Amino acid sequence: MHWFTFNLQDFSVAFLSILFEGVPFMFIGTLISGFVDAFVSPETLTKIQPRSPLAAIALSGVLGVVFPMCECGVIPVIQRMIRKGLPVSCALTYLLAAPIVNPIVALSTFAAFRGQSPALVMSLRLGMGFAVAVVCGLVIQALPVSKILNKAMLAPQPSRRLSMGARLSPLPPTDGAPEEFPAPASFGSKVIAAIRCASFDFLDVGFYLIIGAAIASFFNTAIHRDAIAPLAGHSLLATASMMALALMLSLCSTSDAFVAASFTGFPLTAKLAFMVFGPMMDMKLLFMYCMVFRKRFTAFFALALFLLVGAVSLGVGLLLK
Amino acid sequence: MNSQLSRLISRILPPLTLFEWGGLLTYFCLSHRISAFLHPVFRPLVLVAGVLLLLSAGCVAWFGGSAGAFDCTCSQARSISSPWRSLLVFAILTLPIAGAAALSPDTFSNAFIESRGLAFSPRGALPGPEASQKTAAAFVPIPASQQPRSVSMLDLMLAAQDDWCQKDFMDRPLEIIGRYYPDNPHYFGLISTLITCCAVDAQTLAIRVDTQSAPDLEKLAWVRVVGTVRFDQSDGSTVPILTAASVTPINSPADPYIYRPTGPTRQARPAHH
Repeated sequence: MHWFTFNLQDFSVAFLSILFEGVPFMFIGTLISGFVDAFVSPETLTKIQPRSPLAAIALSGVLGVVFPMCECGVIPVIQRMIRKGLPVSCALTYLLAAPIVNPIVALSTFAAFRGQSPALVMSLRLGMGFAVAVVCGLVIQALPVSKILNKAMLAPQPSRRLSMGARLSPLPPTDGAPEEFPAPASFGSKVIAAIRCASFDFLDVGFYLIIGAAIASFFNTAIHRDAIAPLAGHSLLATASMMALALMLSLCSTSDAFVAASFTGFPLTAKLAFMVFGPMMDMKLLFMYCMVFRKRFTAFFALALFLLVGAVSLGVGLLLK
Repeated sequence: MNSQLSRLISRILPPLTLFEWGGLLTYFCLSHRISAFLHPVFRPLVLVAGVLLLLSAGCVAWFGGSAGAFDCTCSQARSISSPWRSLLVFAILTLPIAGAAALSPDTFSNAFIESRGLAFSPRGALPGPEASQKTAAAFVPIPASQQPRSVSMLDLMLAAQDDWCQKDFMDRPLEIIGRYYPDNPHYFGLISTLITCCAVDAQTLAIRVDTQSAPDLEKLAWVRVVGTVRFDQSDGSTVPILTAASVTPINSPADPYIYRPTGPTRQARPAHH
Protein backbone atom coordinates (compact mmCIF):
# COMPACT_ATOMS: atom_id res chain seq x y z
CA MET A 1 0.00 0.00 0.00
CA HIS A 2 1.28 3.47 -0.86
CA TRP A 3 1.04 5.40 2.39
CA PHE A 4 2.53 8.62 1.10
CA THR A 5 1.86 10.70 -2.03
CA PHE A 6 2.23 14.42 -2.57
CA ASN A 7 0.21 16.44 -5.05
CA LEU A 8 0.68 20.21 -5.11
CA GLN A 9 -2.88 20.90 -6.23
CA ASP A 10 -4.38 18.76 -3.45
CA PHE A 11 -2.08 20.55 -1.04
CA SER A 12 -3.40 23.91 -2.33
CA VAL A 13 -7.02 22.84 -1.86
CA ALA A 14 -6.36 21.67 1.69
CA PHE A 15 -4.28 24.75 2.52
CA LEU A 16 -6.96 27.17 1.33
CA SER A 17 -9.67 25.14 3.05
CA ILE A 18 -7.93 25.46 6.41
CA LEU A 19 -7.42 29.18 5.87
CA PHE A 20 -10.96 29.85 4.68
CA GLU A 21 -12.40 27.96 7.62
CA GLY A 22 -10.06 29.47 10.18
CA VAL A 23 -9.75 33.09 9.06
CA PRO A 24 -13.31 34.26 9.92
CA PHE A 25 -13.06 32.83 13.43
CA MET A 26 -9.55 34.14 13.83
CA PHE A 27 -10.73 37.58 12.75
CA ILE A 28 -13.59 37.45 15.25
CA GLY A 29 -11.01 36.53 17.89
CA THR A 30 -8.75 39.44 16.97
CA LEU A 31 -11.72 41.84 16.97
CA ILE A 32 -12.64 40.70 20.47
CA SER A 33 -8.99 41.07 21.40
CA GLY A 34 -8.87 44.60 19.97
CA PHE A 35 -12.01 45.71 21.75
CA VAL A 36 -10.87 44.14 25.02
CA ASP A 37 -7.64 46.08 24.65
CA ALA A 38 -9.43 49.36 24.05
CA PHE A 39 -12.36 49.06 26.43
CA VAL A 40 -11.45 46.68 29.29
CA SER A 41 -8.98 47.82 31.87
CA PRO A 42 -6.73 45.39 33.77
CA GLU A 43 -8.47 46.47 36.98
CA THR A 44 -11.86 45.42 35.63
CA LEU A 45 -10.49 42.03 34.66
CA THR A 46 -8.98 41.53 38.09
CA LYS A 47 -12.27 42.46 39.78
CA ILE A 48 -14.34 39.86 37.93
CA GLN A 49 -11.98 36.94 38.61
CA PRO A 50 -12.77 34.57 41.48
CA ARG A 51 -10.38 35.00 44.40
CA SER A 52 -9.65 31.29 44.74
CA PRO A 53 -7.16 30.10 42.08
CA LEU A 54 -8.83 26.69 41.90
CA ALA A 55 -12.25 28.27 41.35
CA ALA A 56 -10.78 30.61 38.74
CA ILE A 57 -9.21 27.69 36.83
CA ALA A 58 -12.38 25.59 37.07
CA LEU A 59 -14.45 28.53 35.86
CA SER A 60 -12.07 29.03 32.93
CA GLY A 61 -12.62 25.39 32.03
CA VAL A 62 -16.36 25.86 31.55
CA LEU A 63 -16.27 29.38 30.13
CA GLY A 64 -16.52 27.91 26.64
CA VAL A 65 -20.16 27.01 27.35
CA VAL A 66 -20.97 30.73 27.55
CA PHE A 67 -18.23 32.03 25.20
CA PRO A 68 -17.66 29.26 22.67
CA MET A 69 -14.53 29.84 20.63
CA CYS A 70 -12.77 27.62 18.13
CA GLU A 71 -9.06 26.98 18.52
CA CYS A 72 -8.08 29.54 15.85
CA GLY A 73 -10.07 32.37 17.40
CA VAL A 74 -9.16 31.76 21.01
CA ILE A 75 -5.42 32.46 20.75
CA PRO A 76 -5.56 36.23 20.11
CA VAL A 77 -8.17 36.53 22.86
CA ILE A 78 -6.10 34.82 25.52
CA GLN A 79 -2.98 36.64 24.34
CA ARG A 80 -4.76 39.92 25.04
CA MET A 81 -6.25 38.66 28.31
CA ILE A 82 -2.82 37.67 29.63
CA ARG A 83 -1.52 41.13 28.74
CA LYS A 84 -4.45 42.56 30.67
CA GLY A 85 -3.55 40.58 33.75
CA LEU A 86 -5.46 37.31 33.48
CA PRO A 87 -3.43 34.57 35.19
CA VAL A 88 -1.66 32.35 32.67
CA SER A 89 -3.14 29.26 34.34
CA CYS A 90 -6.70 30.51 33.70
CA ALA A 91 -5.86 31.59 30.15
CA LEU A 92 -4.33 28.22 29.33
CA THR A 93 -7.26 26.36 30.85
CA TYR A 94 -9.69 28.35 28.69
CA LEU A 95 -7.41 27.90 25.65
CA LEU A 96 -7.50 24.10 26.04
CA ALA A 97 -11.11 23.68 27.15
CA ALA A 98 -13.04 26.19 25.04
CA PRO A 99 -12.69 24.34 21.70
CA ILE A 100 -14.13 21.17 23.35
CA VAL A 101 -16.36 22.22 26.24
CA ASN A 102 -18.93 24.15 24.24
CA PRO A 103 -22.46 23.41 23.03
CA ILE A 104 -21.58 23.31 19.31
CA VAL A 105 -18.97 20.61 19.77
CA ALA A 106 -21.30 18.70 22.12
CA LEU A 107 -24.01 18.60 19.45
CA SER A 108 -21.66 17.68 16.61
CA THR A 109 -20.15 14.86 18.68
CA PHE A 110 -23.61 13.57 19.52
CA ALA A 111 -24.60 13.64 15.84
CA ALA A 112 -21.39 11.99 14.67
CA PHE A 113 -21.71 9.05 17.06
CA ARG A 114 -25.40 8.46 16.54
CA GLY A 115 -25.92 4.71 16.88
CA GLN A 116 -22.65 4.33 18.83
CA SER A 117 -23.70 5.45 22.35
CA PRO A 118 -23.71 9.15 21.42
CA ALA A 119 -24.60 10.49 24.88
CA LEU A 120 -21.77 8.52 26.48
CA VAL A 121 -19.20 9.58 23.87
CA MET A 122 -20.28 13.22 24.08
CA SER A 123 -20.16 13.23 27.89
CA LEU A 124 -16.76 11.53 27.95
CA ARG A 125 -15.32 13.93 25.40
CA LEU A 126 -16.49 17.03 27.24
CA GLY A 127 -15.58 15.59 30.64
CA MET A 128 -12.10 14.57 29.53
CA GLY A 129 -11.54 17.90 27.80
CA PHE A 130 -12.49 19.76 30.97
CA ALA A 131 -10.44 17.51 33.25
CA VAL A 132 -7.29 17.66 31.11
CA ALA A 133 -7.58 21.45 30.77
CA VAL A 134 -8.03 21.95 34.53
CA VAL A 135 -5.12 19.63 35.37
CA CYS A 136 -2.91 21.54 32.93
CA GLY A 137 -4.08 24.84 34.44
CA LEU A 138 -3.21 23.66 37.97
CA VAL A 139 0.24 22.47 36.87
CA ILE A 140 0.90 25.72 35.01
CA GLN A 141 -0.06 27.71 38.09
CA ALA A 142 2.83 26.14 39.96
CA LEU A 143 5.36 27.15 37.29
CA PRO A 144 7.03 30.55 37.07
CA VAL A 145 5.57 32.70 34.30
CA SER A 146 9.05 33.40 32.94
CA LYS A 147 9.35 29.72 32.01
CA ILE A 148 6.06 29.78 30.13
CA LEU A 149 5.54 33.05 28.27
CA ASN A 150 7.77 34.22 25.45
CA LYS A 151 9.83 37.40 25.63
CA ALA A 152 7.30 39.56 23.81
CA MET A 153 4.56 38.53 26.24
CA LEU A 154 6.78 39.11 29.28
CA ALA A 155 7.97 42.52 28.17
CA PRO A 156 6.00 45.68 29.01
CA GLN A 157 3.10 46.37 26.65
CA PRO A 158 4.89 48.47 24.03
CA SER A 159 7.12 45.53 23.18
CA ARG A 160 4.17 43.88 21.46
CA ARG A 161 5.73 45.69 18.53
CA LEU A 162 7.96 42.67 18.22
CA SER A 163 4.99 40.82 16.85
CA MET A 164 4.57 39.99 13.18
CA GLY A 165 2.21 42.86 12.61
CA ALA A 166 4.79 45.19 14.02
CA ARG A 167 7.56 43.57 12.06
CA LEU A 168 5.77 44.84 9.01
CA SER A 169 6.16 48.34 10.51
CA PRO A 170 9.83 48.85 11.27
CA LEU A 171 9.65 52.59 11.82
CA PRO A 172 12.78 54.05 13.37
CA PRO A 173 12.50 56.16 16.50
CA THR A 174 11.48 59.71 15.86
CA ASP A 175 11.99 61.66 19.03
CA GLY A 176 13.13 59.25 21.68
CA ALA A 177 9.83 59.70 23.49
CA PRO A 178 8.93 57.23 26.22
CA GLU A 179 7.41 54.04 24.88
CA GLU A 180 3.88 54.55 26.09
CA PHE A 181 0.62 53.73 24.41
CA PRO A 182 -1.41 56.84 23.86
CA ALA A 183 -4.63 56.42 25.80
CA PRO A 184 -7.55 56.95 23.42
CA ALA A 185 -9.96 59.40 24.98
CA SER A 186 -13.19 59.43 23.00
CA PHE A 187 -15.35 56.47 22.06
CA GLY A 188 -14.55 56.94 18.36
CA SER A 189 -10.82 56.95 18.92
CA LYS A 190 -11.16 53.87 21.10
CA VAL A 191 -13.00 52.07 18.28
CA ILE A 192 -10.30 53.04 15.79
CA ALA A 193 -7.62 51.90 18.23
CA ALA A 194 -9.50 48.62 18.66
CA ILE A 195 -9.69 48.05 14.89
CA ARG A 196 -6.02 48.84 14.42
CA CYS A 197 -5.14 46.57 17.30
CA ALA A 198 -7.32 43.81 15.84
CA SER A 199 -5.71 44.25 12.43
CA PHE A 200 -2.21 43.86 13.76
CA ASP A 201 -3.21 40.95 15.98
CA PHE A 202 -4.70 39.38 12.86
CA LEU A 203 -1.36 39.68 11.09
CA ASP A 204 0.37 38.20 14.13
CA VAL A 205 -1.85 35.14 14.26
CA GLY A 206 -2.04 34.92 10.46
CA PHE A 207 1.72 34.50 10.25
CA TYR A 208 1.61 31.39 12.44
CA LEU A 209 -1.62 30.15 10.88
CA ILE A 210 0.00 30.22 7.43
CA ILE A 211 2.97 28.12 8.54
CA GLY A 212 0.82 25.73 10.58
CA ALA A 213 -1.78 25.36 7.84
CA ALA A 214 0.92 24.60 5.28
CA ILE A 215 2.38 21.81 7.40
CA ALA A 216 -1.06 20.47 8.31
CA SER A 217 -2.11 20.46 4.64
CA PHE A 218 1.03 18.59 3.69
CA PHE A 219 0.33 15.81 6.18
CA ASN A 220 -3.40 15.86 5.53
CA THR A 221 -3.07 15.25 1.80
CA ALA A 222 0.15 13.24 1.66
CA ILE A 223 -0.43 10.58 4.33
CA HIS A 224 -3.03 7.91 3.62
CA ARG A 225 -5.33 7.35 6.55
CA ASP A 226 -5.39 3.61 5.94
CA ALA A 227 -1.73 3.56 6.96
CA ILE A 228 -2.68 3.41 10.64
CA ALA A 229 -5.46 0.82 10.18
CA PRO A 230 -3.22 -2.14 11.20
CA LEU A 231 -2.75 -0.53 14.63
CA ALA A 232 -6.47 -0.60 15.44
CA GLY A 233 -6.29 -3.90 17.32
CA HIS A 234 -3.75 -2.74 19.89
CA SER A 235 -5.23 -0.37 22.46
CA LEU A 236 -2.03 1.57 23.24
CA LEU A 237 -0.82 1.85 19.64
CA ALA A 238 -4.31 2.71 18.40
CA THR A 239 -4.59 5.55 20.93
CA ALA A 240 -1.11 6.89 20.16
CA SER A 241 -1.61 6.66 16.40
CA MET A 242 -5.00 8.41 16.54
CA MET A 243 -3.49 11.26 18.56
CA ALA A 244 -0.62 11.52 16.08
CA LEU A 245 -3.20 11.62 13.31
CA ALA A 246 -5.11 14.39 15.10
CA LEU A 247 -1.88 16.35 15.36
CA MET A 248 -1.25 16.00 11.63
CA LEU A 249 -4.77 16.47 10.29
CA SER A 250 -5.44 19.71 12.23
CA LEU A 251 -9.22 19.43 11.96
CA CYS A 252 -11.71 21.87 13.41
CA SER A 253 -13.21 20.67 16.71
CA THR A 254 -16.73 20.92 15.27
CA SER A 255 -15.98 18.42 12.49
CA ASP A 256 -13.37 16.08 13.95
CA ALA A 257 -15.97 13.85 15.63
CA PHE A 258 -17.29 12.83 12.21
CA VAL A 259 -13.82 11.82 11.11
CA ALA A 260 -13.21 9.99 14.41
CA ALA A 261 -16.49 8.10 14.05
CA SER A 262 -15.44 6.88 10.61
CA PHE A 263 -12.50 4.94 12.12
CA THR A 264 -14.80 2.09 12.93
CA GLY A 265 -12.11 -0.49 13.59
CA PHE A 266 -10.53 1.61 16.35
CA PRO A 267 -11.53 1.36 20.04
CA LEU A 268 -13.54 4.15 21.65
CA THR A 269 -10.55 5.16 23.78
CA ALA A 270 -8.51 5.92 20.66
CA LYS A 271 -11.37 7.98 19.20
CA LEU A 272 -11.73 9.91 22.45
CA ALA A 273 -7.99 10.59 22.50
CA PHE A 274 -8.28 11.87 18.91
CA MET A 275 -11.19 14.16 19.81
CA VAL A 276 -9.62 15.52 23.01
CA PHE A 277 -6.02 15.88 21.88
CA GLY A 278 -6.75 17.33 18.41
CA PRO A 279 -8.49 20.55 19.49
CA MET A 280 -5.80 21.13 22.13
CA MET A 281 -2.75 20.51 19.99
CA ASP A 282 -2.31 20.18 16.25
CA MET A 283 0.20 21.31 13.64
CA LYS A 284 -1.25 24.76 13.16
CA LEU A 285 -1.80 25.29 16.90
CA LEU A 286 1.77 24.21 17.59
CA PHE A 287 2.93 27.26 15.65
CA MET A 288 0.20 29.57 16.88
CA TYR A 289 1.02 28.78 20.52
CA CYS A 290 4.49 30.20 19.86
CA MET A 291 2.83 33.62 19.70
CA VAL A 292 2.20 33.38 23.43
CA PHE A 293 4.48 30.72 24.88
CA ARG A 294 8.20 30.02 24.75
CA LYS A 295 9.17 27.56 22.04
CA ARG A 296 10.73 25.15 24.52
CA PHE A 297 7.65 25.29 26.74
CA THR A 298 5.41 24.67 23.71
CA ALA A 299 7.42 21.58 22.73
CA PHE A 300 7.37 20.14 26.28
CA PHE A 301 3.72 21.05 26.67
CA ALA A 302 2.81 19.22 23.45
CA LEU A 303 4.60 16.11 24.67
CA ALA A 304 3.07 16.31 28.15
CA LEU A 305 -0.39 16.82 26.69
CA PHE A 306 0.10 13.81 24.42
CA LEU A 307 1.00 11.63 27.40
CA LEU A 308 -1.74 13.03 29.65
CA VAL A 309 -4.55 12.67 27.11
CA GLY A 310 -3.29 9.20 26.17
CA ALA A 311 -3.20 8.11 29.81
CA VAL A 312 -6.64 9.53 30.57
CA SER A 313 -8.11 7.87 27.46
CA LEU A 314 -6.63 4.49 28.33
CA GLY A 315 -7.82 4.92 31.92
CA VAL A 316 -11.35 5.67 30.74
CA GLY A 317 -11.10 2.60 28.51
CA LEU A 318 -10.25 0.42 31.50
CA LEU A 319 -13.17 1.87 33.49
CA LEU A 320 -15.58 1.19 30.65
CA LYS A 321 -14.60 -2.48 30.38
CA MET B 1 18.07 55.24 2.86
CA ASN B 2 17.33 52.40 5.27
CA SER B 3 15.21 54.77 7.33
CA GLN B 4 13.23 55.90 4.29
CA LEU B 5 12.71 52.31 3.22
CA SER B 6 11.56 51.40 6.73
CA ARG B 7 9.13 54.28 6.74
CA LEU B 8 7.74 53.29 3.38
CA ILE B 9 7.43 49.67 4.42
CA SER B 10 5.73 50.51 7.70
CA ARG B 11 3.23 52.60 5.80
CA ILE B 12 2.28 50.17 3.06
CA LEU B 13 2.92 46.55 4.06
CA PRO B 14 0.32 46.04 6.84
CA PRO B 15 -2.62 47.48 4.86
CA LEU B 16 -1.38 45.74 1.72
CA THR B 17 -1.35 42.38 3.51
CA LEU B 18 -4.82 42.94 4.94
CA PHE B 19 -6.02 44.06 1.51
CA GLU B 20 -4.70 40.91 -0.14
CA TRP B 21 -6.34 38.61 2.42
CA GLY B 22 -9.61 40.53 2.33
CA GLY B 23 -9.56 40.68 -1.46
CA LEU B 24 -8.94 36.96 -1.85
CA LEU B 25 -11.67 36.00 0.61
CA THR B 26 -14.15 38.32 -1.10
CA TYR B 27 -13.14 37.14 -4.58
CA PHE B 28 -13.57 33.45 -3.69
CA CYS B 29 -17.04 34.15 -2.31
CA LEU B 30 -18.28 36.37 -5.12
CA SER B 31 -16.90 34.06 -7.82
CA HIS B 32 -18.45 31.02 -6.03
CA ARG B 33 -15.06 29.29 -6.06
CA ILE B 34 -15.54 29.01 -2.30
CA SER B 35 -17.89 26.06 -2.92
CA ALA B 36 -14.85 23.89 -3.65
CA PHE B 37 -13.52 24.50 -0.17
CA LEU B 38 -16.24 25.06 2.43
CA HIS B 39 -19.60 23.88 3.69
CA PRO B 40 -22.32 26.40 2.67
CA VAL B 41 -22.92 27.34 6.31
CA PHE B 42 -19.45 28.86 6.62
CA ARG B 43 -19.39 30.71 3.29
CA PRO B 44 -21.20 33.89 4.45
CA LEU B 45 -18.68 34.16 7.30
CA VAL B 46 -15.85 34.18 4.78
CA LEU B 47 -17.53 36.97 2.83
CA VAL B 48 -18.09 39.01 5.98
CA ALA B 49 -14.49 38.45 7.09
CA GLY B 50 -13.25 39.43 3.61
CA VAL B 51 -15.20 42.69 3.60
CA LEU B 52 -14.16 43.51 7.18
CA LEU B 53 -10.53 42.85 6.32
CA LEU B 54 -10.79 45.24 3.37
CA LEU B 55 -12.28 47.87 5.68
CA SER B 56 -9.53 47.19 8.23
CA ALA B 57 -6.93 47.63 5.50
CA GLY B 58 -8.47 51.03 4.75
CA CYS B 59 -8.50 51.91 8.44
CA VAL B 60 -4.86 50.92 8.95
CA ALA B 61 -3.81 52.73 5.77
CA TRP B 62 -5.69 55.88 6.79
CA PHE B 63 -4.68 56.01 10.44
CA GLY B 64 -1.43 54.06 10.20
CA GLY B 65 0.81 57.06 9.69
CA SER B 66 0.07 58.71 13.01
CA ALA B 67 2.20 57.96 16.02
CA GLY B 68 0.41 55.18 17.78
CA ALA B 69 0.64 51.95 19.57
CA PHE B 70 1.92 49.98 16.61
CA ASP B 71 4.69 52.22 15.40
CA CYS B 72 7.80 50.30 16.09
CA THR B 73 9.97 52.67 18.06
CA CYS B 74 11.58 50.51 20.70
CA SER B 75 15.22 49.66 20.29
CA GLN B 76 14.64 45.94 20.74
CA ALA B 77 12.13 45.87 17.94
CA ARG B 78 14.35 47.97 15.73
CA SER B 79 17.13 45.44 16.01
CA ILE B 80 14.80 42.69 14.90
CA SER B 81 12.66 44.47 12.36
CA SER B 82 15.03 45.38 9.60
CA PRO B 83 13.30 46.32 6.33
CA TRP B 84 14.41 43.03 4.83
CA ARG B 85 12.98 41.06 7.71
CA SER B 86 9.73 42.96 7.27
CA LEU B 87 9.72 42.06 3.60
CA LEU B 88 10.29 38.40 4.50
CA VAL B 89 7.35 38.44 6.92
CA PHE B 90 5.28 40.14 4.24
CA ALA B 91 6.26 37.43 1.75
CA ILE B 92 5.25 34.65 4.17
CA LEU B 93 1.94 36.34 4.87
CA THR B 94 1.05 36.98 1.24
CA LEU B 95 2.78 34.63 -1.21
CA PRO B 96 1.56 31.18 -0.01
CA ILE B 97 -2.10 32.20 -0.01
CA ALA B 98 -1.78 33.91 -3.40
CA GLY B 99 0.09 30.93 -4.83
CA ALA B 100 -2.47 28.45 -3.48
CA ALA B 101 -5.31 30.57 -4.88
CA ALA B 102 -3.68 30.50 -8.30
CA LEU B 103 -2.79 26.80 -8.22
CA SER B 104 -5.78 25.19 -6.57
CA PRO B 105 -8.26 23.36 -8.77
CA ASP B 106 -11.93 23.13 -7.84
CA THR B 107 -11.66 19.70 -6.32
CA PHE B 108 -9.18 17.16 -5.02
CA SER B 109 -7.43 14.77 -7.40
CA ASN B 110 -8.61 11.20 -7.96
CA ALA B 111 -5.63 9.87 -6.02
CA PHE B 112 -6.60 11.96 -2.99
CA ILE B 113 -10.20 10.73 -3.11
CA GLU B 114 -9.01 7.14 -3.07
CA SER B 115 -6.46 7.82 -0.34
CA ARG B 116 -9.25 8.86 2.03
CA GLY B 117 -10.50 5.27 2.09
CA LEU B 118 -13.89 4.46 0.62
CA ALA B 119 -16.67 4.36 3.22
CA PHE B 120 -19.08 1.94 1.51
CA SER B 121 -20.56 0.87 4.80
CA PRO B 122 -19.71 1.27 8.47
CA ARG B 123 -17.30 -1.62 7.96
CA GLY B 124 -15.53 0.40 5.30
CA ALA B 125 -15.93 -2.11 2.48
CA LEU B 126 -18.34 -2.61 -0.36
CA PRO B 127 -21.18 -4.99 0.55
CA GLY B 128 -20.21 -8.28 -1.06
CA PRO B 129 -22.27 -10.62 -3.26
CA GLU B 130 -23.99 -12.16 -0.21
CA ALA B 131 -26.00 -8.96 0.25
CA SER B 132 -27.83 -9.47 -3.03
CA GLN B 133 -28.89 -12.99 -2.02
CA LYS B 134 -31.21 -11.62 0.64
CA THR B 135 -33.17 -9.52 -1.79
CA ALA B 136 -33.07 -10.57 -5.41
CA ALA B 137 -31.72 -7.83 -7.64
CA ALA B 138 -34.46 -6.90 -10.06
CA PHE B 139 -33.61 -4.99 -13.20
CA VAL B 140 -37.07 -3.61 -13.75
CA PRO B 141 -37.31 -1.11 -16.60
CA ILE B 142 -38.59 2.24 -15.35
CA PRO B 143 -41.67 3.54 -17.20
CA ALA B 144 -40.90 6.65 -19.24
CA SER B 145 -43.82 8.46 -17.61
CA GLN B 146 -42.39 8.04 -14.13
CA GLN B 147 -39.91 10.83 -13.38
CA PRO B 148 -37.05 9.64 -11.18
CA ARG B 149 -36.64 11.41 -7.87
CA SER B 150 -33.25 13.11 -7.46
CA VAL B 151 -31.53 12.08 -4.22
CA SER B 152 -28.04 12.28 -2.76
CA MET B 153 -25.97 9.41 -1.46
CA LEU B 154 -26.24 10.82 2.03
CA ASP B 155 -30.06 10.71 1.83
CA LEU B 156 -29.90 6.97 1.19
CA MET B 157 -27.26 6.34 3.85
CA LEU B 158 -29.27 8.22 6.46
CA ALA B 159 -32.48 6.50 5.38
CA ALA B 160 -30.76 3.14 5.89
CA GLN B 161 -30.76 3.87 9.62
CA ASP B 162 -34.53 4.14 9.86
CA ASP B 163 -37.10 1.61 8.63
CA TRP B 164 -39.71 4.30 8.10
CA CYS B 165 -37.41 6.44 5.99
CA GLN B 166 -36.38 3.46 3.89
CA LYS B 167 -39.95 3.02 2.68
CA ASP B 168 -39.95 6.57 1.34
CA PHE B 169 -37.19 5.68 -1.12
CA MET B 170 -38.15 2.15 -2.12
CA ASP B 171 -40.37 1.11 -5.02
CA ARG B 172 -39.82 4.29 -6.97
CA PRO B 173 -37.17 5.35 -9.49
CA LEU B 174 -34.34 7.39 -8.07
CA GLU B 175 -31.69 9.48 -9.77
CA ILE B 176 -28.31 9.88 -8.12
CA ILE B 177 -25.09 11.53 -9.25
CA GLY B 178 -21.65 10.33 -8.28
CA ARG B 179 -18.37 8.96 -9.53
CA TYR B 180 -17.88 5.53 -11.04
CA TYR B 181 -15.63 3.16 -9.13
CA PRO B 182 -15.33 -0.27 -10.80
CA ASP B 183 -15.28 -3.20 -8.42
CA ASN B 184 -16.95 -6.28 -9.90
CA PRO B 185 -18.51 -7.31 -13.26
CA HIS B 186 -21.98 -7.23 -11.65
CA TYR B 187 -21.73 -4.18 -9.46
CA PHE B 188 -19.69 -1.03 -9.03
CA GLY B 189 -19.22 1.64 -6.40
CA LEU B 190 -20.83 5.05 -6.76
CA ILE B 191 -18.73 7.60 -4.92
CA SER B 192 -19.43 11.02 -3.42
CA THR B 193 -17.21 13.25 -1.34
CA LEU B 194 -18.86 14.41 1.89
CA ILE B 195 -17.87 17.67 3.55
CA THR B 196 -18.65 18.42 7.18
CA CYS B 197 -16.90 21.80 7.56
CA CYS B 198 -14.22 22.18 4.90
CA ALA B 199 -12.47 20.14 2.25
CA VAL B 200 -9.82 19.01 4.71
CA ASP B 201 -12.35 16.83 6.54
CA ALA B 202 -13.59 15.28 3.25
CA GLN B 203 -14.82 11.72 3.55
CA THR B 204 -15.45 9.47 0.59
CA LEU B 205 -18.87 7.82 0.71
CA ALA B 206 -19.86 5.06 -1.65
CA ILE B 207 -22.80 2.80 -2.28
CA ARG B 208 -23.01 -0.36 -4.30
CA VAL B 209 -24.78 -0.23 -7.64
CA ASP B 210 -25.85 -3.53 -9.21
CA THR B 211 -25.75 -3.67 -12.99
CA GLN B 212 -26.39 -6.32 -15.63
CA SER B 213 -23.08 -5.45 -17.26
CA ALA B 214 -20.25 -3.19 -16.12
CA PRO B 215 -20.29 0.20 -17.89
CA ASP B 216 -17.30 0.99 -20.08
CA LEU B 217 -16.17 4.08 -18.22
CA GLU B 218 -12.99 5.47 -16.78
CA LYS B 219 -12.44 5.03 -13.07
CA LEU B 220 -13.94 7.96 -11.09
CA ALA B 221 -15.82 9.34 -14.13
CA TRP B 222 -18.93 11.31 -13.18
CA VAL B 223 -22.16 9.39 -13.86
CA ARG B 224 -25.90 9.74 -13.39
CA VAL B 225 -27.49 6.51 -12.22
CA VAL B 226 -31.23 5.94 -12.48
CA GLY B 227 -32.57 2.92 -10.66
CA THR B 228 -34.27 1.60 -7.59
CA VAL B 229 -32.94 1.12 -4.09
CA ARG B 230 -33.22 -1.68 -1.60
CA PHE B 231 -31.78 -1.87 1.89
CA ASP B 232 -29.82 -4.98 2.83
CA GLN B 233 -27.83 -6.17 5.79
CA SER B 234 -24.08 -6.17 5.37
CA ASP B 235 -21.70 -6.96 8.20
CA GLY B 236 -24.30 -6.20 10.84
CA SER B 237 -25.56 -2.91 9.47
CA THR B 238 -28.16 -1.80 6.97
CA VAL B 239 -26.79 -0.41 3.71
CA PRO B 240 -28.50 0.96 0.59
CA ILE B 241 -27.91 -0.92 -2.65
CA LEU B 242 -29.00 0.53 -5.98
CA THR B 243 -30.16 -1.54 -8.89
CA ALA B 244 -29.34 0.49 -11.97
CA ALA B 245 -31.73 0.84 -14.89
CA SER B 246 -29.32 3.21 -16.62
CA VAL B 247 -25.83 4.60 -16.04
CA THR B 248 -25.06 7.77 -18.03
CA PRO B 249 -21.73 9.60 -18.09
CA ILE B 250 -22.05 13.33 -17.32
CA ASN B 251 -19.78 16.35 -16.99
CA SER B 252 -18.44 17.07 -13.52
CA PRO B 253 -21.00 19.16 -11.59
CA ALA B 254 -20.26 22.74 -10.54
CA ASP B 255 -20.31 21.67 -6.90
CA PRO B 256 -18.49 18.35 -6.57
CA TYR B 257 -19.31 17.71 -2.94
CA ILE B 258 -22.27 16.69 -0.83
CA TYR B 259 -22.62 18.36 2.54
CA ARG B 260 -23.49 17.03 5.94
CA PRO B 261 -26.70 18.71 7.12
CA THR B 262 -26.15 21.10 9.98
CA GLY B 263 -29.47 20.40 11.71
CA PRO B 264 -30.66 17.06 13.05
CA THR B 265 -29.30 14.52 10.60
CA ARG B 266 -32.00 11.93 11.07
CA GLN B 267 -34.55 12.43 8.35
CA ALA B 268 -38.06 13.41 9.27
CA ARG B 269 -40.47 10.55 8.87
CA PRO B 270 -42.59 10.86 5.75
CA ALA B 271 -45.97 12.40 6.47
CA HIS B 272 -47.95 9.58 4.88
CA HIS B 273 -46.56 7.13 7.42
